[in-house]
Amino acid sequence: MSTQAIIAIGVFLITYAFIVTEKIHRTIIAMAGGITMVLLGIVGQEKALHHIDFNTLGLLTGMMIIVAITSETGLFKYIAILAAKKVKGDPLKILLALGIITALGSAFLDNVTTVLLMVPVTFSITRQLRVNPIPFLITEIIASNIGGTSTLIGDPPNIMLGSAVKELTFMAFINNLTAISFFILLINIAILSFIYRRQLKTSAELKASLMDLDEKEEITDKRLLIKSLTSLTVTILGFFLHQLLHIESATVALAGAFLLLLLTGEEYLDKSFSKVEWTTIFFFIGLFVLVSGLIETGVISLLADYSVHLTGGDVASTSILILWVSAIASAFIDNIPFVATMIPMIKDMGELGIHNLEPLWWSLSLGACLGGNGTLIGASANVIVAGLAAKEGHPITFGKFLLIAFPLMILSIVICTIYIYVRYLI
Amino acid sequence: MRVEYSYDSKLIQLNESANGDDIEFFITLYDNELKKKLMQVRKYFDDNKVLTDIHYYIHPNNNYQVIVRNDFYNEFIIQLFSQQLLKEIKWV
Repeated sequence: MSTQAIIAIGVFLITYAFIVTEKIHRTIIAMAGGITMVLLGIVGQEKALHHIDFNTLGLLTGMMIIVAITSETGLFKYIAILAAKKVKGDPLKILLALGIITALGSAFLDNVTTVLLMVPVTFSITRQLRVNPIPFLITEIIASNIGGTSTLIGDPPNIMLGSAVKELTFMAFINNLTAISFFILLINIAILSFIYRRQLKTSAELKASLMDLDEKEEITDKRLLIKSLTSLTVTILGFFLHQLLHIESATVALAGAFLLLLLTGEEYLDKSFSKVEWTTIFFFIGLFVLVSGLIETGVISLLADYSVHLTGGDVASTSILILWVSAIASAFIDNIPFVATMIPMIKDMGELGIHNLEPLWWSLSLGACLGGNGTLIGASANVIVAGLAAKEGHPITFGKFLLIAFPLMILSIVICTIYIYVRYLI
Repeated sequence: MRVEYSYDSKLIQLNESANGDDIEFFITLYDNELKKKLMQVRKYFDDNKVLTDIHYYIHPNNNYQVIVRNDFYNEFIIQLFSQQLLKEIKWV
């Protein structure tokens, strides 16, 4: 191993350690790590820029703009109240409904955005019914991570995978991950409903009060809603057709975002741009450059070589290994840097003789996305909801969440193991 | 010291009662123009970073239910006043 490679590993591990400890903001650390790789000459600036995946960044930015404008319309509040009324104000059924809405939202929007839209209306509904909001919040955390697994645009690991591997199109994700994600979602919500069934009771009077709500009044701007829904529909349609049209997913998302801005006018330009999570965008940039140091010095190839040696190049063992390692790792560390490291490693495995990489990619996606449900620090949505809940006087402790969510995550990965084995490996 | 308020009963009807640890307001607006003003009060609380300060529920026929957390009671009253939904507020 060259001196350059040893330095690259050192920079990578120190950066990773700081990201895990969360003492300094992860964006600052990732950018500092990436810049260090360039400053030390491990990777040149031109090469570093070449490694930044602008498709991932464009897709994230475009969707953030669309969501920022759509959230102004009151659409999510309308849907949540309508769903609560459709199930006659029964808290147990509302738990199920809000879980499914969160999963559907997360399938097409960023998980953090989805929970940020769902949590306020959840507090509102549970306060009206005078039931404990914690079962609802835990269900929404779990549903958002499962929903995000089901599409190319649902979760950053999938966005990165779809961008890095040409064959993994939007439709490929739908065909391979949506049904299994929905199945896992139903199993998880059914178990959560059973666990919390005793806490989810309210009076007939409070149910009647909820049934009397006028959800239509929640729509604050009908013209903006029509424009937002038009752009969102065109964008989602674009995702379904992007392979056929030979355009990248980032082009679709950015086209949708700027179509919406064209329709709404300048008024929303500054507002929506200010809501783009630039910290997340720069976190990605830092990581791409950081991992490029490992790629350019041959460290990733060495790791791939070692992994292939460990599993004897057998697709089945390698897939299951990737699934479980990704899940356990993602339960404790950020799945974005993990996936950023794994993608080039799996690509190298292809060059080392594993010809069928498809089960490996799906194993990585399922493991990295669903693994986030294992602990309270496993995914950004978990941390955000726990933070909001604690601030509002309903703390979700690490232990309380672990006790419920970790077994559910293990169950989900067992289901995925069977799925991967039966669908791709027999 | 607590806040006492008065309003124009031709334009608005406002009843408050205890709801657990919170205060619950039932508001009826007799003038559609006032809807925008009440929306501004809601927006004020929506825009801050506290999610459980007030819970705002819209019922048919310009009826509103607002559950206000005890520690946000005065702020809520002040916001109603600033939107001219209340005529007068004073410490008693």
